[in-house]
Amino acid sequence: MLPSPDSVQAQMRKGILEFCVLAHLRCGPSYGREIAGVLSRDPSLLTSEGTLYPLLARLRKQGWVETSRQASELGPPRRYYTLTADGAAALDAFAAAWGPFSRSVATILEDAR
Amino acid sequence: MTSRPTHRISGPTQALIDAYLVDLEHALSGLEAGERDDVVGSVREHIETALSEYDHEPTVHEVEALLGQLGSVEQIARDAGDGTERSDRNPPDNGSREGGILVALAGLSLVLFWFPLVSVPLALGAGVAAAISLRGARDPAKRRYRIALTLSIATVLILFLLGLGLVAASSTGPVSEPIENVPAPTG
Repeated sequence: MLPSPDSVQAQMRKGILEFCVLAHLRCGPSYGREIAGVLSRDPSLLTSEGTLYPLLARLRKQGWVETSRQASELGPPRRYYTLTADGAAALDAFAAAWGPFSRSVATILEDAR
Repeated sequence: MTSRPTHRISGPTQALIDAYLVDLEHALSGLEAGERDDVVGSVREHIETALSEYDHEPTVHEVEALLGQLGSVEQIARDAGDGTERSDRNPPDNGSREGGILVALAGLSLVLFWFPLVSVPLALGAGVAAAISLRGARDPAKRRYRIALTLSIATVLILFLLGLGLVAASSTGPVSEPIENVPAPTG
């Protein structure tokens, strides 16, 4: 059975999306809908906004993000997610590995053309 | 504990949202209660925040579109399940199992301290491996590596002190007391 582009993307998203969330949070605390809005700008990253929340719950459980509730001028109070020191370290580790990894994959694919 | 969005929501739209959240809760029944409540609460908050951005009462069509962007509850549950499976399968991957083995080896070296030819290499091996693995390790593996390292150091220290004691005892030798001349009894 040949994989569809969607299933290939879904496989690649696993394990990568959480670091995209951490990278976004490095810019500052953010709330769920805002994070979803940033990630869903590129449909290859986030196809359904709801799938972000199990991921955020896992990140919180791992201690990579922490939450605080803040009042909003518009609408109900919001749960803000903040990157922790462990989360920042995990992001650094990912970023250090990602560059060489993505270059290697690109080289292999280029050579195979 | 449902906080209502800023805008008044009509019966049918509220029913849509409630049904979606109930379905989501059922779909996530495989998760721990705390994690399930966390996900459902976050999705509820997402909906409320989105609805508060409208400058009018959201229509059924708009709410349907919003729920469509969130995705099906099955899809969310599948993603949540994937993560749970990953996190269940992977903790030993971050060194928990290796940490446990090193603790066992270091503990064994301490128990066998009376057999230094066995316990010293065991303690040194476990200690060095634990010290190397400590770098970059995360809890709970980190804690296990620390325990292994402590046990290894304790073993080596005990053996060193024992050896020192034995060397000191053997080099001192028996103490000879001076012989006193006792005068012979007279009469």
